[in-house]
Amino acid sequence: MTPDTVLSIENLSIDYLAETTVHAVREVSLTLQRGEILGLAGESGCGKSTLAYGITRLLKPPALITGGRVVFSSREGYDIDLSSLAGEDLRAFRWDKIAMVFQGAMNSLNPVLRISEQLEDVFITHRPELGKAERRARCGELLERVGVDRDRLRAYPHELSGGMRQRVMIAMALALEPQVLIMDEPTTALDVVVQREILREITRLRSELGFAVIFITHDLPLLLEISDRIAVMRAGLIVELGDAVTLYTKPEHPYTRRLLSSFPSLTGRRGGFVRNAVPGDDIALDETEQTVEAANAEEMEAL
Amino acid sequence: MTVLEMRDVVKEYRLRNGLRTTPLRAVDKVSFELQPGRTIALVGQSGSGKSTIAKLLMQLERPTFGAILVNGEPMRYRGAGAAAYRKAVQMVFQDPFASLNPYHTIGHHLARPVRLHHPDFNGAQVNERVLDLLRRVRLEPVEEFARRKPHELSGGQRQRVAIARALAPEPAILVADEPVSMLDVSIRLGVLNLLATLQREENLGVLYITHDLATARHFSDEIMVLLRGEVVEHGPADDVILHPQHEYTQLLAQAAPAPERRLTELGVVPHR
Amino acid sequence: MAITTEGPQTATETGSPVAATRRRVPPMTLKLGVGLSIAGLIVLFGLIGPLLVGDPSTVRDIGLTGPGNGFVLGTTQSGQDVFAQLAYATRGSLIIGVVVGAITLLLSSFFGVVGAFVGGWADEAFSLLTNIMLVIPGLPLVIVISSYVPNKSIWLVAAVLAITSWAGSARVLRGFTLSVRSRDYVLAARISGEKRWRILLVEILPNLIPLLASQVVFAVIFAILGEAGLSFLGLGASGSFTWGTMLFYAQNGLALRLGAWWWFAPPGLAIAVFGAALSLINFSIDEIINPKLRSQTRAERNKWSMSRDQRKAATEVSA
Repeated sequence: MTPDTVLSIENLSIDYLAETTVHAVREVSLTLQRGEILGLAGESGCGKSTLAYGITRLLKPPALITGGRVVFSSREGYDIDLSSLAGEDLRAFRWDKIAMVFQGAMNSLNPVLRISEQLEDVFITHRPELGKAERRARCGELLERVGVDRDRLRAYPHELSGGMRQRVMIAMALALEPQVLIMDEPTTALDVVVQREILREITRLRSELGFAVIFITHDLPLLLEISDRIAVMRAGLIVELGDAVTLYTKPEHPYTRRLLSSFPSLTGRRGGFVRNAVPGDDIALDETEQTVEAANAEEMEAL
Repeated sequence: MTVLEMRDVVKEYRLRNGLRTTPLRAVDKVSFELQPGRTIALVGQSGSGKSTIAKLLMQLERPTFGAILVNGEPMRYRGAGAAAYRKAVQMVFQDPFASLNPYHTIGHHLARPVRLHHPDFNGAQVNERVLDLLRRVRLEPVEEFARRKPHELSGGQRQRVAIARALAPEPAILVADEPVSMLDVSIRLGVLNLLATLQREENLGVLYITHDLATARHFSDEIMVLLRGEVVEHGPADDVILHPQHEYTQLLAQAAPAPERRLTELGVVPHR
Repeated sequence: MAITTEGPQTATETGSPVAATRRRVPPMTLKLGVGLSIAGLIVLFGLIGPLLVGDPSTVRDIGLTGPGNGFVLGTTQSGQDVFAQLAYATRGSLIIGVVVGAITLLLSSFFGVVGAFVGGWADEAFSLLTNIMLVIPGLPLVIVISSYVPNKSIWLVAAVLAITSWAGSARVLRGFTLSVRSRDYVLAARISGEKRWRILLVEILPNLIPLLASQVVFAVIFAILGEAGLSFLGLGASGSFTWGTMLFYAQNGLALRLGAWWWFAPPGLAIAVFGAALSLINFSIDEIINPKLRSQTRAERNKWSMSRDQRKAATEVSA
């Protein structure tokens, strides 16, 4: 663990205990450097969200961490093993050091409370020593920092657009100036134009505040735009991990290659997938649907 | 040879605001002509009106002004004309999990439209058509798939069933409403390729509704860009994407993730 | 409207990796087993009991006696065999339950489901009628109707109860039908050109069956309890034997004061136990309607077989 690592995930395994046990995350090891943006790419069911919930200890039964550990190295110089936290310590730790923006977050705002109340709630819980005026001021600052006008504090969630609500959620996550921010598909439900703005905000905030980001999404080209490194996940395993540009230009794992080829380029040559191609040239439908176990096993052998 | 035409179609909804009502133009003077064998992409973000256009074409809503014409004749809502329209124009829905009834087998889903459009077929003929349809969307072994229920299929497989169902009445026009946006990324191109193959084989006219510019470009001949119900740009696919005229189209093209652009910025030459 | 105008979202699998099989019949759990057995036994008793016991109305001059002397549950004030009465009363109450259940099913499906499906003015009219029937106070209406007809038969009581209770079910069914009606597969059927009645029968009804079943069971519970209440007030079918009329006569015969538990306890218990059994059955049906309930029951949790430490760690989540 180099001194620059802020989060170290070591052989983490998470299972779903049910009639059959499902290994959602299998001995995943990752390190997150201070201030870096790590993209976590994968399709539905690969375990990326489960991993995120595991890191923040938000898993609900029947999901369970069955092995490995997560170590957080604070700016102040000490290390914490996240699995050792419990009760009040865990509550104090969450949001203060590691915060999360959930999938569909823009629909997670309480529709009957004003934005100000919801933002202030974070401070009331974690910084009870602050006075009312100071709290108000901080909330205003927070909103401006994510690019939303301060007088939107008095608004209700339904009065804001989707993009603005997402910014409010990001503001809420940044309220206590965490050192790690985990974002689970933060822009999936947004228009592509709004998506671009949100991404810009995130990169700007990262340079201003210096937090590290784990950005989870299925949109691989999007990750290239903002990540420093990318990890590709499939069926609970990290199949490839590397620097963003290298991964995009010289992908090694067959699954990464297949994922990349699923995104036709907007401006490039109109090839690979073309309407006028000879029949039989189409990407075979069958092989893409074989069981994940079998495909993984195949690819493990091939490597 | 069926040509589908929308001529200056307007769809207005009245929003109730207390005692007053304000009109909302979901579709504002949209016109296009869809020829057999051609694909037109309808690109727009949420709220642009593209879903309303799908509803209008499927007779789930009626235009407030303007006309929808089939081979020059206005669309009919009742009687033999309506039945003929329904045979000629079919739709593939967006959500593979919602478009199939969880209580019925795949075979049932396909047999119904076959029976409706061929009342003269006997049981064996219907069954043969059903298995043939499954074969065409590459869901094999066909007998086994016909027996299964929707929850036993993956998202991509269900979408293929939806395509098969749309093909059952032997239509001339296919309206595909975001057919792959709810599927896993790695199987999207496969399904789109299937649609392309089927279009070629049947000489279908396809209206491809999507928010994704990249697949719109690769899959269609023409692109229409929709903004708040209005068509702001309409032209051949490559022209619209590579040389956008309207500023909204330019904005969309800029906003879409474009890794090549970043790579060139970084001075890296892609190996692909 | 299923053609959504929202932005696209990849279809994510739910957290549970267990195949989401859509069940038609509730899975056999302890709850369901117990409910079915108890209800089954009571129904059996009501069906064949009267064939095996003597005449419940025979008056004897032994007066109020406890169990024994050839009388399993003793005798009433006028020497009538309580056990025989219980058998006939079970049959009577069950008849009321079944009749009310059937009438409620018919009326609520018609006004709820058909109305919502057809839409337009029919929907508005049916909805209005349903709301009016809901608002009319049930008990006073029943009392008024009852007071006009002095000698009520079981059938009349059942009819009166049914008329005042179908409206609640109709509303629930209407809401559900409206939501099913706008699902993609129903739209696909419409686009195909399916006839409306076929869509109703083939596409919509199968989805409604669990809810209908639950509503019917609920109606039966209500009917039995309602009848008991009516009879206790003297407004029931006083000429016939039902659990409620037994309680009425027991009350009139001062059974409680005299400590004649064998007279009022059996019918009271029967009502409670049958109601509980039906409720258990309903909870099992609820698990089909709302699959999330399944994973929250203790049986499911036991299947996870977590160790105590694991369970403790898991509860940290709510910290």
